[in-house]
Amino acid sequence: MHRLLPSLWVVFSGCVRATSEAAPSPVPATEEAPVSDHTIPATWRAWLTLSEADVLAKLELSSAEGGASYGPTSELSTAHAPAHYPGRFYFQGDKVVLITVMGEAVQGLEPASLARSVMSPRVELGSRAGKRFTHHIVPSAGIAWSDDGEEVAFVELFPPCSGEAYRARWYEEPGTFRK
Amino acid sequence: MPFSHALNLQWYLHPAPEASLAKSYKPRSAPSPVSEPAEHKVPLAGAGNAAANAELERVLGGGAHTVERGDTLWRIADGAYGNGALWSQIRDANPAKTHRGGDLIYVGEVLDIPTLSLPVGGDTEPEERRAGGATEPMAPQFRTTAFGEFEVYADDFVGPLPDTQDAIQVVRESTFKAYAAEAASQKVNEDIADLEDGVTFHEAVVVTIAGQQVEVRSKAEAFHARRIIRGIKDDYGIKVDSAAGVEAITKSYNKVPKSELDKLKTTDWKYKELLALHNALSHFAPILGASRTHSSRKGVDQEISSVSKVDQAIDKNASGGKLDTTTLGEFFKDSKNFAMFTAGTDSDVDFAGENGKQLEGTAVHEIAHGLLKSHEGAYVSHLDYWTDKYTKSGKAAAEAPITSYGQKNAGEDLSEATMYFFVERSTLTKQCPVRDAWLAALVASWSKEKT
Repeated sequence: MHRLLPSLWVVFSGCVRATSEAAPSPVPATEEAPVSDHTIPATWRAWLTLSEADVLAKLELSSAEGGASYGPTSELSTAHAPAHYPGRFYFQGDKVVLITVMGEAVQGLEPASLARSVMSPRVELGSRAGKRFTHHIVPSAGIAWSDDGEEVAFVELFPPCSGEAYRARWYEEPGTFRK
Repeated sequence: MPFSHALNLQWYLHPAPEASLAKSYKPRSAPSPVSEPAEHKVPLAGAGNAAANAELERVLGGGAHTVERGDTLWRIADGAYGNGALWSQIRDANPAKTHRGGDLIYVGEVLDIPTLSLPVGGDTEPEERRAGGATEPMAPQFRTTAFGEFEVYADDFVGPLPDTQDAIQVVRESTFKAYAAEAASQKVNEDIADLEDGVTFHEAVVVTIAGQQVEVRSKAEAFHARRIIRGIKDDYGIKVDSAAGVEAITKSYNKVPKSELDKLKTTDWKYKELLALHNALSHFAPILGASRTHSSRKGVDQEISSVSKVDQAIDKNASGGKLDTTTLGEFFKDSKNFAMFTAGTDSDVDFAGENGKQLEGTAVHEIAHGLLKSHEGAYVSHLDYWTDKYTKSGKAAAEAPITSYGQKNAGEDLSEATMYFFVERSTLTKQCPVRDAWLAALVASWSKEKT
């Protein structure tokens, strides 16, 4: 499993499937949990406050890839170094504006627990992950994710914003799944 | 099932109006009255010395033919040379584009039509056909039996048989005998046996076949439907089982109130849906059923074990979820099931005016969700269009999915591309050559047994 994953366990403390074999031993559910500096920042939110240059340095990348889009937003640059961090970073003006995490890194997350852990009001939207998936957004907490009740497809982390701002920047209505 | 092989081969080649052949046959240049060098110019066997004398010969064929649905080499040869028996000349000129000895050709392939030099007034039949003596292999016998209607050709008939038309099976004598033997040895479904022979019903009747309700318009259709249902189980390891679809939906939409889920119900299969289903599954034959053990998917559990016809789907997995009248088909991974819905029965949403193609395409789409899911990662990596399974890259130069529906996510993109690959490949080749090439390589890899 990824060595940076414990950062997510901090954030989603209590959301890890007890039976997940893929998950590493969860870090105690407190932000004071000892987290190795050479692997991750203290919390996941700290990644959002880093500059593009700092992230690239931690990812050991020389540059980000330009010309990227995410939903309605274009002119982003992006970086992904799975050997260092499971998520993909999106930058704009030297700032991290979005992190997406999917695949093995989210397999240990339990949707119901994840929902319970977010105290702010949650809005449900259609998800591009599929007909049976729901996209949960908690813009004020800077988090959104898609799940089908059993599995989490992907997680989005971003600086807190309003619901309108989230939809305008990151959400694309997938339309009806008819097959 | 003793005769499934013959049926499978026929279903690769879909029937089409004869008019489509004339429309699609486009010589690169008009046939010349004199001999001229041509890449695939082939003197006919038995033409003798006439080919050496341009004044005494005529030239047929030349040009190219793009394979359309319903084409067979026989029909293409008939259109090009006026004699379907010359089909082997086209096969021999296109070794990489014809398969199984000429029994299998793919829609969208461009076949070279070799130029044939014939003596003026000569016979265009190749020697092996003319040597047939008193037996005329071109003349089939039509037989209406208690187990269906058949167009029976002699076993020594040269070349692929014409397509099966409607419910009339086109078979060789030995295959016909096998059908007869089976019918004599097994108890025929009583509902089918009660149907009147040799009559096309004004309105469809519902018969029970292997526990499934099937609407048919003749006794022959009923027997054919029965063979399809049995063949899908025997050949592909997939049970036609509509109740399994209701169970799969109930399991997958676990947030929907029971009162709504209780409204789910199976519904009758239409005969045309079973035909389309079998056509769709036949495309994946190398990785289904017993064949899978000799494929690249050896050792991996088959991702689909049942297929269902259900009246309505559920619109969303939420407490407000309701019956849905727009879903055409849906795959249920955990249940290894895919369902076809009433909304798709008469749909032509992707192929305007071609309901049969749509039915087959929808089935291919759902099958691809199951059988090809493990390839989604490789698909994403190969295409510039996707950053990951759920995110478009935004790269302007990236080849877009074949349909707007395929823009939802990479899984839908792959299913849509697979649908076009198998039911209208020429469109995929033209609009999405990167996807077409990737799928061609994937399909080719199926036959390489995993070691």
